Amino acid sequence: MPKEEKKPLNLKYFVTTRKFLLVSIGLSCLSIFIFFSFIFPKVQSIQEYRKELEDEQAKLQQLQDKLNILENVNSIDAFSERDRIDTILPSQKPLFSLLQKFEALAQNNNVVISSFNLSPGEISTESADTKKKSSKAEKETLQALEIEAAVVGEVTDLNAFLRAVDNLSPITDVTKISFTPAKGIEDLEEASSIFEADLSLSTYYYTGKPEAQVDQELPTIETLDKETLDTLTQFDIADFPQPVVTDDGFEATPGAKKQLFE
Amino acid sequence: MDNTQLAFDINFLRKRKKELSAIEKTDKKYAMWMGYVVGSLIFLLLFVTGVNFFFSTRISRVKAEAKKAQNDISDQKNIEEQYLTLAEKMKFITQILSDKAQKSEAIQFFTETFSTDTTSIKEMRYEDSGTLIFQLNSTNIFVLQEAIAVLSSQEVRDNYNSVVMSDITRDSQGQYIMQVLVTLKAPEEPEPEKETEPKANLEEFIVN
Repeated sequence: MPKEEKKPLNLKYFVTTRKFLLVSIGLSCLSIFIFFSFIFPKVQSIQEYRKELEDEQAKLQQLQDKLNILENVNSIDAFSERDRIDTILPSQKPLFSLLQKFEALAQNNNVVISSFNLSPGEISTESADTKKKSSKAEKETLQALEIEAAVVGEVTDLNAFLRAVDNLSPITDVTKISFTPAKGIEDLEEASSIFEADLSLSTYYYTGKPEAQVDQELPTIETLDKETLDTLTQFDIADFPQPVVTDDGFEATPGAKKQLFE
Repeated sequence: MDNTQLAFDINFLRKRKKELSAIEKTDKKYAMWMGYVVGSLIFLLLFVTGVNFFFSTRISRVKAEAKKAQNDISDQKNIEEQYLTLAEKMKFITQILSDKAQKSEAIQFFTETFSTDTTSIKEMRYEDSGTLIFQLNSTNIFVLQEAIAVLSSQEVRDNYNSVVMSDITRDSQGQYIMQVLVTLKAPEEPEPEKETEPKANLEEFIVN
């Protein structure tokens, strides 16, 4: 018997008889290709887009809120009171206005300033501005003028004076105080009621220059109740020549001659 | 060769055709289903592309609005700087006032109480920890005893967290000098049990 010969694969025959199977295989390969090459990346990009959209919308909302505040800024109570706030905490060294007010307070409260020591430090001029300031000074936007003063008067008057200093604008803080009976008064009766108060005071002023940054959120403005605002700005220096800030930043009181010391 | 086998051999084509038809039918079914799958995927691809396009358009629009808002904000730079300055000033003022309020009240109380012809206050200072420290001068021991009584009174205890009296000395002029430390702010930890009322007896406080 002749051996059975192995039949070679007849490709043509296979293609002819199983063409639909080949089509199925082709379509499944195509579907896999479509899914992994197009659909899957697009689904991933949709997720990324969603996150990006959320971030952009949050950023837009923040910008719109900020713009809304800036456009309606005059409706904020504190903003409409900013002149008074600038009086309470001025943006320049309140040297002359402080000297004027201090003396006026002493006169109003029937006390005498027996000594006064103030270190004004650097007066702001163009040359001073160009000098390199210490890094500490640059960082601190709240500065203080330090005053050492001795005030003589009766206890009630001294306390009234201290209350007035407490409510003084620019905002002033009594950091140290010492009450002693006044010396050198010949009248014994008067000597028992007259005291000398040695005071150390700090008068604050603001030196910051905040820079506006578009993407930065606006801070909330602390509210200050009206009573406190009234109290702090009750001392009016309208009768005194108003200090002016010249082009070089120097605070000057033209024509004012005041005797500070008795 | 018998007749059956001959008949079988003659009809092989029909049988084969039958077999092939069955196979072809199955293959056609598979091809049909795969066609549906591909069609669905194409449909899904179109949908996903549409969603993609929607999101990208939306993002572009939001970015354009944000850009416009940024330009509007830039135009109001001066107002923003005024606002920032005001906010910082208000923060400082509120902070300074809250520190001052309690302190001022305490300073006034003690200066009014002890600025008399027999007592006086020296070197009063305020520490950031909420402590008021001063030196109380008395002309004689009886005046000092009265001063201690005042400092130990219920009124003072109600208004201040603690009053510590220490370092009583006598100078060459016969004046008694005592250090007083008044704590203004409430402590964070729970307060320990209050001690019994200190006696207004001078001997308790004399430091040799």
